Amino acid sequence: MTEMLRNEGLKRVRMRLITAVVFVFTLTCSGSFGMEDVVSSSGPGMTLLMILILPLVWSVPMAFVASELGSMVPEAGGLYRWIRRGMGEYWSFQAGWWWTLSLYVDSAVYVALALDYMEAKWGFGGGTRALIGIAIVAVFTFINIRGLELTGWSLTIIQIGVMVPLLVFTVWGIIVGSGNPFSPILPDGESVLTSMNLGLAIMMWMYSGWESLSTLAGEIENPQKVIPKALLIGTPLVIATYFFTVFAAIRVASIDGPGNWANMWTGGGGVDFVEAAQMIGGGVLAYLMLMSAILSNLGLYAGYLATGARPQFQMSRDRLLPKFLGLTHKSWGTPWAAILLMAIVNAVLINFNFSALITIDVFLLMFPYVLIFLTVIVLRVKEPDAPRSFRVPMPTALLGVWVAFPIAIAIIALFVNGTDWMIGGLAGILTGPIAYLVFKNIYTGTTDEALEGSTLTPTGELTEFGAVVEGAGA
Amino acid sequence: MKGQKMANYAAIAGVVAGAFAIGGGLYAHSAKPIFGIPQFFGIYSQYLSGVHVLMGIGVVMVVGGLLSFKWPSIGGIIVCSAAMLGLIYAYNRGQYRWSPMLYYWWGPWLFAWIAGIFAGYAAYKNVPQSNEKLADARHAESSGA
Repeated sequence: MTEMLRNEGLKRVRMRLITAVVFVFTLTCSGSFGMEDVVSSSGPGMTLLMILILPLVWSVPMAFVASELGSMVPEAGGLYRWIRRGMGEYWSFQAGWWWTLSLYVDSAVYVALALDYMEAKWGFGGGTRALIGIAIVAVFTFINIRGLELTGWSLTIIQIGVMVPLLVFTVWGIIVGSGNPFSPILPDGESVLTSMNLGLAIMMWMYSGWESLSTLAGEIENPQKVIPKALLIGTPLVIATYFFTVFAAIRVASIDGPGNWANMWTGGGGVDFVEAAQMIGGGVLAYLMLMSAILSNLGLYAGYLATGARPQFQMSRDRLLPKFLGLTHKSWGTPWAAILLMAIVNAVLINFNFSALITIDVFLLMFPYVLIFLTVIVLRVKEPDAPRSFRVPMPTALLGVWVAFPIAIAIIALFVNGTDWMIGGLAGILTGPIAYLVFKNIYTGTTDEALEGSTLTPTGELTEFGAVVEGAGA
Repeated sequence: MKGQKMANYAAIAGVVAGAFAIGGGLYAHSAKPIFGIPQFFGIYSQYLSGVHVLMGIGVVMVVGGLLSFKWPSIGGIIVCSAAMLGLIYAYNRGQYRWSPMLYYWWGPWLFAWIAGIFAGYAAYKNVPQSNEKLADARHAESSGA
């Protein structure tokens, strides 16, 4: 065994499986708010079919691939380190950079959405909105810097607050609602392809995030076992949540007439989950549903603040980003500088109109996804015998065929989101090579042999540190 | 230089990106497509027409490409930054943004990205990675060694 260094200053916590599942659920679902727009644009039947079918070719492959790669390379930074192992420093930097950039914008969106819900209900002014926004960011920044244990507890409480009203609504809605939610399959005059246009983009968004938990691998005991298990439990849970809540919402909307699904949208004036709750449960259920929607966005923010900060921390430790991003808190063992920088950017963004920046979001996320799918195949070929506690149960060739579907979907998504997204995204992509050329020349990068927190040697054997990680939960 | 082959590829891709932009500008000069009014972020000038911007950025890309033969990192940064600026310009066209993107900016973008990739590979080969374990480096720093 080769001696290699643990990530100095990072503290590992014992994360219970249930907490890891809550993390996965938060990062990939956190309620069904936003699905209303899919129903009105793609038709009720098509929405329910997409909820059931899309995971087979989009999120289940990602969950399985993330499980295999996470069990093989259970290192801080997650996807960034997987891609480094499979495709080298250049592409891992690109993936880490794009993913981080995307999450800087994305996480701010969740705070903005929570504020939108609050503002619609309580109608406060711009100054109050800014103060509440900054307070939200500050609270979750502290929780994240305090450590994964507190973050896990917070997410658990938040998800209880999200799911209890949704469960009540779902059961009640299915009982008192009317009509067949699968009918009609498509909106009048639409083909399968045209109806899927907007719906597919939203649905892909709703079914993303399976790779995120892996970025915390450097701070969890026994990550190579806990994370794959959590992903495999979380996958059916997320599908079931989406299916039954949307099923109920369509039935509730149909109380006002069989074609009322066409009025399901978010953003005011339409039948969203809050309005649907009002229809069957009156003000009390509507209020609880509003709380659920606000908590859902706050949970997403807390989760993505945690996971979004880790790749940049590890890239800094690998001498590819400024040194201060690699700082850890002396007592709590968390990458506080990376978390704080992300929070500051979020706090600034939520006080400006950043709609132009959102356009780069989906685009930048799709490229790392493609690289992750390619990496799993490359590593199967390059290091077939490297230890993996979880292996997707299919031969490499078949796995290649399976991951070709999500790669194709990711590429299609680049073109179906509209001109704004495409131009903004293409410009965002070019920041990757520019950033690499700048930071590589300043900080030089680290050889594979000197990488901190590496569990495998460059030849695919367990390092001494890797052996400690393997045995951490034993 | 270890990465000279990659630097050469970066240079060629950068020059091709510039040639696409200049060629697009020349074509647009005769085809006269609708690019919107000649402005960029509120600055109005006849030199900010679609044709002028395409050709101007094309020239910058060619220069960046040529620099890449000797200094791939500098050349790559110039080529990619120019393409990014071009895309932001196309985005800034408002309702007319799709046409410049679809017909004129895809080529410069694609080859600029390829130039950036090769420049990145050249940098990877040319800039020696640190082999010092980070913890040792930090220890040396803190002890003033």
